[in-house]
Amino acid sequence: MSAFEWLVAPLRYPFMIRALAASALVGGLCSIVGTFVVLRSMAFLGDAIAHSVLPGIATGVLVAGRGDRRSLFWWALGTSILVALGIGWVSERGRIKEDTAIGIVFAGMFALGIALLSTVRGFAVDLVHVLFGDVLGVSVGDLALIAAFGGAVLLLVVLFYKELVLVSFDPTLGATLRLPVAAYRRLLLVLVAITVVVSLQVVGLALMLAMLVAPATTAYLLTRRVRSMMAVGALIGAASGLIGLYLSFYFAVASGAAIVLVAIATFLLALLLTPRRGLLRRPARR
Amino acid sequence: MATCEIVKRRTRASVVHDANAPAIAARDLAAAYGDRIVLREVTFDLSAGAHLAVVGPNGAGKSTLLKVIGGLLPWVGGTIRVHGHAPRDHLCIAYVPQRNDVDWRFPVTVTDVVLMGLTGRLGPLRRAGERDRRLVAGAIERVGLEDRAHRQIGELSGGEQQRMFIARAIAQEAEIVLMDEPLAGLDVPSEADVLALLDRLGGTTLLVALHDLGVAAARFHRVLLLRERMIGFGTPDDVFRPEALEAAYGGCVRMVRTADGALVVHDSACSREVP
Amino acid sequence: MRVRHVVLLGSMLLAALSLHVVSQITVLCTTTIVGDVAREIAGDDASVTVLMPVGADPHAFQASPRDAIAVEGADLVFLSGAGLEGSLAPLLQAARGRVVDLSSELALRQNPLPGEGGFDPHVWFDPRNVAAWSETIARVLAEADPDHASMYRVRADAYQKEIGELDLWIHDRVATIPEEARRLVTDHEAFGYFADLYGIEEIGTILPGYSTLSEPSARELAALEDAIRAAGVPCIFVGTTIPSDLAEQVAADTGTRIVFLYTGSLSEPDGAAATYLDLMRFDVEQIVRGLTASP
Repeated sequence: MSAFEWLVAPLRYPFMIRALAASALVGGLCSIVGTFVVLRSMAFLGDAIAHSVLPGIATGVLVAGRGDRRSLFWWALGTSILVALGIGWVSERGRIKEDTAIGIVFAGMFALGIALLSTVRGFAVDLVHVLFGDVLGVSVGDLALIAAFGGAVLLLVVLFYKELVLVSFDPTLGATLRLPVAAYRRLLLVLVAITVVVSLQVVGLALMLAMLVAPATTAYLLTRRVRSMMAVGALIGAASGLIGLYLSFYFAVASGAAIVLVAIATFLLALLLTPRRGLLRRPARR
Repeated sequence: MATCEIVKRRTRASVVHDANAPAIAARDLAAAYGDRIVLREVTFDLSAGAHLAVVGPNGAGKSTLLKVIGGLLPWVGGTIRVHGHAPRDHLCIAYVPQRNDVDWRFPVTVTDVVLMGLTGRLGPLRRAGERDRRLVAGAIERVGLEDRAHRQIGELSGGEQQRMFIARAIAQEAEIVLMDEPLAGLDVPSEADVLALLDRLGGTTLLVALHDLGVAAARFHRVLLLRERMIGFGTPDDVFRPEALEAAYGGCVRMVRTADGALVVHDSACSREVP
Repeated sequence: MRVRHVVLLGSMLLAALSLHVVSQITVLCTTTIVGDVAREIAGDDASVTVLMPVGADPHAFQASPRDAIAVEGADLVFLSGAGLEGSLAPLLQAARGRVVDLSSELALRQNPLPGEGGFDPHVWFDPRNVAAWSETIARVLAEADPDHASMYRVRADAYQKEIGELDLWIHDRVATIPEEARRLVTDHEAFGYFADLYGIEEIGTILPGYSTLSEPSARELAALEDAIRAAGVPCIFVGTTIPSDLAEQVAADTGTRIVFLYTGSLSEPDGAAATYLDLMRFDVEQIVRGLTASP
């Protein structure tokens, strides 16, 4: 089979086209938001928000039944935003160490989700989809939701870009300039929450962290400025989505895992190839 | 008082500085972390354009004092007035953090960081324009960092890092600059560079937390000696008396005036008890 | 006086009743299908309960502590067998009574894919297997409860006759499907025994393998869509126990319809598949109608 045929063969199937579109969108989105996750060391937080979505979905399944997948999206979205803001509130109080607080919420919510879901006898299939994604089942409606909410997240990142970077780098400066630093931090948490829910169908909870962190970290190794880190990260993320799906197509492996493995492989490659000391040096840009 | 970081955004026009009030006026100022009082009895007036060194042992409350003046921490007792208003009312105060508190691996260049000083004025949804970039370039030039302008901040030396933050304060058009241990970890030439730069910030009110009593005595007209409470405020000669130094540092610390400046020595042969 | 007589009579009746109840053996069945067959044989002479609720997916069933108590307290436990109740194995270890795998002596279909073990557990889609079940049930019940052995025998014979009639009926119905249309696409590999017995070709399944817990890869889905298009089947048959969204996508992409069947569980008592015989008739009608309708 020629290279061209090899590239084009999966495109004969509508489900592949939808899956490719969803994977590229999600890969790019996760990396863009992931830039902040990496720079602010929010990886654990991102993982916690992802896992905390489960009780929301479980409640949705109990209330709306299994058939109505659209409503599950809204349940997940509501839950993740609430959890994100809740974690933010708990860690602002400062009485317990932040990662303890996050860990407690994480485990508690996940256990709650399993408990709720287990009352639906025979829940294993739903759980597998939630944990590992269901990218091959993406419908046109699902794509529309991904595009709409992904676009909203992107818009907010663009609009508040310099403020978000500022409070990530130097919250004290933010306080000095009398910026609403806490509000921006919460905005970031909400953006992560939305990204997680939008990406659920492609990647699943269990592997969400990798999509948030790996492409962005790879970009961190390769770039010097936040803007380039975000752009390069988005490209790597989207490419991981596409390549992962192609691998899944030709080698019969699970799609979500394939996507994540490509992202990790890219990261390892970057780690090996960039010089060990500091960041890659480049001639100064004009 | 809750440690609430949400501050209402001020309008573009800063508050009008009260011409009759000193730049900084503190009366019995006290600050606390939770239940623990970490600063008290701070009383002083500082006129505009003066340079003040805040000295004291570790944990004396130097950073705390700077943060209260900058409107970054609440205070629990006494009063503090900056140009006649509350610290938080001002947009013209710049705070230069300790070097350890900065993430030097963050992917930003010198220009990026100096540009951040303008964010307050630009507001969200607006991008930096040509005039803003020129302001930034000018500030960078004033501190002598033009040829490092596009380096990632981790590539800077210690002295250059401090100069970058000073450039940011200039871009912010700050009238009061608070610096937390700017000379920590710098070698002598870098120290000299930074101090020379501070000298050139003539009209700016400067408060610098320092470890080195000698530098404080030699280069600053006013010093404030702290050890959780204010021990003394005034000229170095007035403040660095033996009793005051002993109260602050324990043991036997002496200031010795030489032809070239002042030296502060720790007299290890002295046998006085630590109070 | 009269009151005392009533009370005496009442308590004697109660004693007689409870004696009757206590002497009944308790039979626990795993799936609703097994439960139905067991009830046909046991009648009122034994107390039959079912572990899985209506609509539960037997491949993915998660037992609760109450189920463990039920298993432990039953005199007899009947399993559909052939690996269907794999997830219940630890639970069954604790059974006090006799655990019987109804399919242990049946000729089972083996997984044709090399390297993967396992048998096809959907034996009930071949009615002759269910007849064999009823034989085993009657025998085991008779051993455990000899007093009613003759009743069990009578009922088993009657049931097997009904199954014989069902088998003939199915043959007739399938014969009405044109030969080239006798092709089946289902959500998972549940109809192997049915296909083998009645001469229908299985084109492919949405989920690979015998269990509903497997996930298809992109390549497998693509191969399925190609097979569907090549075979020109008019519909995809899906069970009611698993979410059908993937099947719906495939159907939309290939221009086929979705037709619902009962696979691993009976319906509610007032539904279309309240007994095994009803289930088979319903499913066969759905299949016949689906395959003979113009696409």
